[in-house]
Amino acid sequence: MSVRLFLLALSAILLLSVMSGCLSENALERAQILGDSYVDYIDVGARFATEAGDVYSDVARYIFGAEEVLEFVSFADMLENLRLGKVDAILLSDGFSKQLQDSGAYPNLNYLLVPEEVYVNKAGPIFHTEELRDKYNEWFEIVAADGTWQEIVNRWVGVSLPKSEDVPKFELTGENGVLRVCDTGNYPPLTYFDENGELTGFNIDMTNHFAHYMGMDVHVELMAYPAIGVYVKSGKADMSAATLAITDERSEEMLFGEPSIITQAVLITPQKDNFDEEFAIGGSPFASGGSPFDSGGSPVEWLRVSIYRNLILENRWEMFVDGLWVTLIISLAAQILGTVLGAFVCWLLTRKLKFIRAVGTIYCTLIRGLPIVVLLLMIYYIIFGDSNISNIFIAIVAFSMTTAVTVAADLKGAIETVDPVEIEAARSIGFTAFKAFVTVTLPQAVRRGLPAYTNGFVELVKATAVVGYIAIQDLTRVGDIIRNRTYDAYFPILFVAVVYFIMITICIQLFKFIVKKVNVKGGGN
Amino acid sequence: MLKIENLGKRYGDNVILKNINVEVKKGEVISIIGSSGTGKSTFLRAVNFLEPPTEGAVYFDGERITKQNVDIIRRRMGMVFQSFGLFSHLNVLNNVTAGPIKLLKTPKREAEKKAMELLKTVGLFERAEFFAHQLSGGQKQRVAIARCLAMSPEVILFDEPTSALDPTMVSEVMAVMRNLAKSGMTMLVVTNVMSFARDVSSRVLYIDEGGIYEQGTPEDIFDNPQKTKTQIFIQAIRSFNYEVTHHHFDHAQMLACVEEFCFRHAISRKITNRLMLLAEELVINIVTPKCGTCSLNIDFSEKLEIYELSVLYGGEKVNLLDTFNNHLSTTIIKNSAKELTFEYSEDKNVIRAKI
Repeated sequence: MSVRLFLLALSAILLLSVMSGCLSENALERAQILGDSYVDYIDVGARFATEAGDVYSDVARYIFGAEEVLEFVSFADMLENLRLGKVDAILLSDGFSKQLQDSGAYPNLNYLLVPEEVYVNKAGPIFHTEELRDKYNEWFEIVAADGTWQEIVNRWVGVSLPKSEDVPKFELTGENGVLRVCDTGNYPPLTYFDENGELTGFNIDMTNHFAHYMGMDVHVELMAYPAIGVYVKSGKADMSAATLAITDERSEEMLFGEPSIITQAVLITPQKDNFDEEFAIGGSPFASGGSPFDSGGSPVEWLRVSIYRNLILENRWEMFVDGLWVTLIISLAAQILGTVLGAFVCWLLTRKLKFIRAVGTIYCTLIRGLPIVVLLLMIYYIIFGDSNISNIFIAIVAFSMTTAVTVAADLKGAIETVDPVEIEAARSIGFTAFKAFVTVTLPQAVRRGLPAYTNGFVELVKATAVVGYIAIQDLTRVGDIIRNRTYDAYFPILFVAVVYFIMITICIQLFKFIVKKVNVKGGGN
Repeated sequence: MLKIENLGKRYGDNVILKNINVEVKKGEVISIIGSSGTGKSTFLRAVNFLEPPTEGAVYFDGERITKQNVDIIRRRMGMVFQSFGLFSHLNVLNNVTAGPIKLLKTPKREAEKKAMELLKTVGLFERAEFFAHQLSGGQKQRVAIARCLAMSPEVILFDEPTSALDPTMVSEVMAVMRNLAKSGMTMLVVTNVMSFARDVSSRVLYIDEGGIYEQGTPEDIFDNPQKTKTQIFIQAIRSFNYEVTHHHFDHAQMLACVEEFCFRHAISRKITNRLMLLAEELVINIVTPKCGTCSLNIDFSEKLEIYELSVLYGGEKVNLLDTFNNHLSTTIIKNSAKELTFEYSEDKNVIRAKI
């Protein structure tokens, strides 16, 4: 036993020394690239956090020699991981870091502007067609020349967020159609929801200017940053409002417009002295961003502040209501459609002809074998790739397809429990096969299948939490957006959890009530 | 009103029924009897196309029944099943009214009024609100009859209506059927209740060998059967069969089966013991050690006082009792049996012992 412990300790020491060797070597390399004066900042460790799909993951790897790069979809997650010590540094663009500094949400951070000689990031919007790209470049030349462009940049970049009345509004008439653009909606100052709950930011401002020039109306769809490239490429949007960093690799795949943003990278690290203790605690409501367990203040105070920031400020609760509504609509519609489709699949599965049965079996096997997210993305990009069908409709289709499989299986099982003699008896009176099914089999099958059906619906409601993948703002996704706006990693998650819990509990009780009613009517055995 | 012509039914190569010709006149009550597995039920099910016949035709009032018109014809040709088939999600009243309301488009109130009348005639007026699982077997079967009558059928097929019932409940169902017969209903009844066949029916069909083996009035069949199998059946010869498939078969199980058969037919303890002894010595000690497989049969008739045990085995002609002449078992067998015979025909050896 003691020998084992000794060996374990020995291997741990060996491992540590090897690792520390690596660390200092990395730090050395970085110092050579960045210059000696940066040594304090760069010897931060080997784990970096960047935004998913952004160029900074490569910058972290190749310029800062990061050993591990964690890519996050949400900025609140990056900060929280930094606070918890799961990453050592965050690398992101300077435009965003300014907002973070201003907010005071996380006061004890160091911000290091990476010098232009080391890395500079040119970013521009991407386009579906060359024609539109050329139009954009034409427009860009004009606004760059007459100073409009600088005006837009000055309004947003490197300053505090402007008030909504300071942002110019356009009467977009849309006589030349609708410009379909996509963006993330969660990256101030580039794109975010303002105090009135309206989408605004540099990207949106720029897009509105361009659309005005084109004589088009604008329709913005929101999605996760990594999805934007595919979205425009597949033609679901004409262009991105979001700017993407222009790299050689990307230029081969996408049509970039003139770079509209030239940004520097910022390296964010915790201040080492008061690391952890005071990291995330400030005085103003806006500056409290910790978890309920270590905020220092009383839980009641934490709750009050959190509710204010995440729900009341800028009427954010309205977004939650909308999200809940979307979740409910998708769930209910998918359940209804899935039931109809499931009944049809069940019909296929109970045919005498082997060939028809096989069709049903293959369908069920295929759908069962796919994660719902994969199915959702397949339907979204492959089947409805270049059509303009509403995303919510696509989600309903995808979830109907999975619901159909469970409904078909449950229904088939329930039908098989019905005594065949009862069906024969109905036939012998003169009921046709169909009428006997409707009068005898179905009522009994429904009664026996209801409990499983209830469970299926609950599973469906929970499963719809992934629709954010195709840019639908359901309850879960709204939680994400709010987290990115308030930098609060905990409260929105907890709030979303509570809402789901209440909604599902209500559904279960409702179904229980229905089951009880049906059973009383049916004799209750 | 019902004419069955050359009706036959087969499943693949397995012929169940062949060449059945029956003409049923209005008001006739026909009992169909025979041992189990001879196709009595299949015959009824073929007549109303629940299992469409593979040969021949059935005519109802001169109209040939086909898969297309059978749903309409069934409204006039009811059927009562061995296991009732009450709709378990509906109460008694709705069971009875389902057909008239859904198929004949009878107004609900009228259908219910008629249903209550029918329930009165089968004695279940007070159970109208009950569900199937709250009724006894006899009550269920009476509801099933009422449900059948609600369609005002011209003929009713009964498929062993009492064989799933406890003996105490048989009479209540039989009483309803007797009344029906008296009222002039045309009925085809597959039954094993001989008193019904003898006293109520106008004609009796004895089914065997895949067809109508013998038919006639109840007097013809019950008092003066002409053919052997009918005689055996009528004289209530009960048979027992046990197939031994391997020489390491389950001895105890075979003996238990023999004992159970004897117990079921109230055979005296003395004869039971003797039958078991014979089975043990003949099958276990003489035949299976030599042949491996064999089949044990016991025939018994209380009326004729026959107790006969036979063992059948394959191979060349050889009387194993001679082979084991000096064996202790042979001595025991010879002492226990009143009469011992040996036959050989068609590659089969039979040792027969009468007690």
